[in-house]
Amino acid sequence: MVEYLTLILSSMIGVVVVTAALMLVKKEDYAWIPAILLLLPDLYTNINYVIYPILVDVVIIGNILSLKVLESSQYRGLDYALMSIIGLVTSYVLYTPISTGAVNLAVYFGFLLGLFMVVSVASYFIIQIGARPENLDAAVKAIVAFVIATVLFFTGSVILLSSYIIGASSLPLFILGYTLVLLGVMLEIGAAPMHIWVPDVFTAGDPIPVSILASTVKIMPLMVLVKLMAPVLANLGEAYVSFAYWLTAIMAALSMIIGNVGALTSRESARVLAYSSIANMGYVLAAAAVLINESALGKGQQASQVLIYALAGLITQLLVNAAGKIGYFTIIKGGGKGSVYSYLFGLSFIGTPPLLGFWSKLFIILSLIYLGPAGLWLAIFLVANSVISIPYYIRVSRELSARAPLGITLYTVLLMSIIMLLGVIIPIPAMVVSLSRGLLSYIA
Amino acid sequence: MLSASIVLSLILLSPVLLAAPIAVYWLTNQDAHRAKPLIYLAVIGLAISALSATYMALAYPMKTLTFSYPWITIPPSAGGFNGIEITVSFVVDFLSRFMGLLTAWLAFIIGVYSLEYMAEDYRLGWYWFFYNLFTASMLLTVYSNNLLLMFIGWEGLGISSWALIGNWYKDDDELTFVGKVGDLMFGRPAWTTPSYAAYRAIATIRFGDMFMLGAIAAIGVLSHSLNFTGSGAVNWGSLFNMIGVAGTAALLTLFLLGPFTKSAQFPFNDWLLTAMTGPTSVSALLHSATMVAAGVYIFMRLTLSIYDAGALSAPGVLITYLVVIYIGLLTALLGSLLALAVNERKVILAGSTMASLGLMMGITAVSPYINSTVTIGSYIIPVAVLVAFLYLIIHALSKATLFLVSGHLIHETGTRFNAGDFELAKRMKPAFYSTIAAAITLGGVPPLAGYWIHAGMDDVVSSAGQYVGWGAYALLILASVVYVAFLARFTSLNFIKGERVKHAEGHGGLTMAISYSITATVALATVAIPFTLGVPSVLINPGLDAYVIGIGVVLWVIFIAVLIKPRSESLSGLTNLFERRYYIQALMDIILAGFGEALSAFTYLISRGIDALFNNLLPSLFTGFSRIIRRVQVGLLDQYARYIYIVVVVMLIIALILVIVYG
Repeated sequence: MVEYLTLILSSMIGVVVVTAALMLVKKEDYAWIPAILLLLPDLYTNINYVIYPILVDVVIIGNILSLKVLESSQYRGLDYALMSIIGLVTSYVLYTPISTGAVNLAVYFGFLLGLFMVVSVASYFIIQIGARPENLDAAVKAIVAFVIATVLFFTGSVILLSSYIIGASSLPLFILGYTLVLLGVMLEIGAAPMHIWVPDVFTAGDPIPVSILASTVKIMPLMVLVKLMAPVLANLGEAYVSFAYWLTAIMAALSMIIGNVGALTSRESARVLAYSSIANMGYVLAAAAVLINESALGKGQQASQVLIYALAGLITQLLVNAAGKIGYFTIIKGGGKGSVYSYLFGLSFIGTPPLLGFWSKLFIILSLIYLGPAGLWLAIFLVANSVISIPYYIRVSRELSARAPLGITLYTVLLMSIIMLLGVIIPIPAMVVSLSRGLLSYIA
Repeated sequence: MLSASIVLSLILLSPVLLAAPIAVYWLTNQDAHRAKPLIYLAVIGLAISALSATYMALAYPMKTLTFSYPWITIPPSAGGFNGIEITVSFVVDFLSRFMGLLTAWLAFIIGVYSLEYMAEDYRLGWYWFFYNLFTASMLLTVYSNNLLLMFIGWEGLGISSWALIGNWYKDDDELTFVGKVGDLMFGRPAWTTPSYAAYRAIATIRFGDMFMLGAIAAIGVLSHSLNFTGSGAVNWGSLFNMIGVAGTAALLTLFLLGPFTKSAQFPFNDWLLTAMTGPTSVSALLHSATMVAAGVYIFMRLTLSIYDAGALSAPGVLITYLVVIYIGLLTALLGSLLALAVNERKVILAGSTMASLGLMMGITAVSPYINSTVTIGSYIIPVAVLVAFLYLIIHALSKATLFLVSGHLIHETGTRFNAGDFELAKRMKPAFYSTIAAAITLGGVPPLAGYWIHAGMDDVVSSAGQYVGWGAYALLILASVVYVAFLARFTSLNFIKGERVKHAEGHGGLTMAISYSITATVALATVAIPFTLGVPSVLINPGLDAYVIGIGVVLWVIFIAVLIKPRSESLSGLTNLFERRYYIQALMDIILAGFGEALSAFTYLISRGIDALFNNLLPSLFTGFSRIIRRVQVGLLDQYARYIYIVVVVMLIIALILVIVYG
């Protein structure tokens, strides 16, 4: 029985080696094949966990296909390898065994930080794929934002560690630390009020790297946040959990409203999608807020219901967001030829049943409602925001639905559409929920 | 003896079923000549009904019989409701057999009259259908023993009345209006067209019906029964005990709002006066003899039912009935004064109907205050109810006659205003004879039926005088005096001292003349009732009292005097008040309508507000908010870095505040 970490590491090394070899023989056009193949070993894990790597792999494959739309880049094949590496690391992050005890926790923190940095640094390179002079401006803004985010996250987690060590009477430290951590995560994913870089980068950047930024790069920071807070909060009291929950919830609400309202009057599709991204990050932050509440909920049927739905909602919403953004940006790259697929993505983002976007929002709403009055307001707020989002999604869909996509664009868009349509087959969302039950043990 | 279900089915269903063919036929083919057989069929339906009612009145034993068939059963529920069983229940007793007989035959005779009167009409299908529906509904109301079943008939009366009053809905014939065109009252039109009159009728009646239905529901829920008599009848005694004095008064008042509006008691009387826009046959049947009498009839039936339950002396009943006495007798006086002042034939008769209905209501309401009853066959009836019922019968016959004559006069003279002198009387001998016959029967002059019945009324009210006050007696006397005066005025201004009329076409009229001659003769023949009823103490003995004979002589004097001199210098202000029907129309048109206008203006304002909110305010709010969000994106990296820095600092300050507060 091979250890999962070994598997991941070997795959990472393997993909780099194979890609380098292909570059040597000038066959870098085929580099996408080993990238996908060496991504798949992350599925070799126990059944309780596998739903999450499946989701991640689907997104990465989508990214790789969309990279193929961009005929060639200056990385000449290494970009596929980079995507594969990001995928492997993201798949692993949730699996990291939680340690307790001061020293072990420090190591745990360091490890999570390292994973965070891997993805962050990778994204510095990704944003520059296929960059022409006008895209460079966007790249610089994104990189600056990511750097500051990393710093904030770093500082915050160190302070949190010391709060954990001190124990019960460290509320001031905890407040400080958590605020910085949350701000860092928010800046990384582009959630309001740390969203300032998102509209410009999305508009000025080349659609394909932007799509990668909008899809894959969002997953890791949230998982790190949830994994980080789990052991810390397990040890501290009610007040700490309460503060963490309320801060995250309020930030989620802020992100939702700013994203949705900002999109209402934007003209270019890319800008609208940028604000849509901010809003979607609001939705996933709401799910993350519920998960942070975990230690305060205690045991019992109700509590586990809440957490299962929150986790299911979190990963499904990340999937929906990723698939939709990849789809839309690929269509934009292909000259706005989206025909009926644009409408499919739009409806899924709005949350129309029975598409997958409906299920993801439903899980998040259910978890908030079952949480009690503390979450009910956020659930209502979420629904209201979904309604506000309807006009601009329809507008974007209409703008991007000129003609049908062709070639590799078609394959990418098709794959993303299939993901959205998975929600129609009712057993699939149900299966996500039941598998999240097992996944929960990796957070608690 | 045929079973009750067969007879009742014949009575109730044959008018409606046999009128259906003409109703359907007229939808496609408005040819009066070709439709004649179908019209005869409709009248045959009325005849069958009349014969069946006669059979029921004669062949059934003279005791109270009820026939019930299961209908709705609501089981008891967990919330404390004890369940109720509502049956299709009919009663054949003193009131219903004779009222049914009267109604069915009057309907038949006036139907025959309509054959000629409505021969050239453009809406025959509508007319005959609703005429027969009216007859069926009235008979249902008369024979019904169950409050809910009665209410169904009641509503049928309302809709038929609306349909028939508004028969000439095109409002194109000035002959059908009430009031002079161009006449204004406080700036609003003082004349009424058929369509508007129909609306006024149904609006007033329905207003009363709402409360009546509520009261019926309350009775049903609280006493678990809705039957007037018989084994499952409402236990009024325990019901009154349960709801207390105030509750009883409230319940009875709400219930009586139905009869009040239907029987045109003051102040709900104005619809009856403008209902004269309908065909005269309709006015004769509905608005004199039967439909408006339904209200009083139900009041009598209610009184009988409460009496049978032994609850007539409950305090709540006494209070309510006292109020009804005065409202009724006041209506009688006001109606008579009105009839004395107006100049349209049918409106005079409508005013007199209003007065008579007031008398009937008032007299019936005296029942709780006098303890005597009479026994006829095996019926035990309170005296006041008997007197009022007998008055109802002679009134129906006389008033129908007068209306039928008016219809013929309108046809002959071509105007609806009083006109015609002795020459007209000579030309239309049956009409003159019928008018005199009806007037002396109804007026209360000895020795005809009206005199004995008025004597009975006098006796009843005076023996209750010490309990209800002498104002009631005064109103009764005044009303009787004015009544006979306007009857004489009507006769005189149309046949003796009215304006001369040009000779009109004079085509036909035989059927009409035969119809009203029959009713007039029957009216005269009612003089036999007091002598054949077998209860001399009620009518004969009071009539032989010297004081009452004196009043009778005075009435003769007034009758003859007004016959000779029908006009006098008017006390103009007062006459104006009467002629304007106490300005009730203005009240409804200005105040009630104004209230409605205000309500709709207010609603429109709210609607505009909602409109502005959703179409202007909210969109601009969102657009403004969106622009503010997007204004942050200036595009300069150093500004962005500054922004991030500011946000972090702000959050840290908030964190600091929290630390201080909770730390």
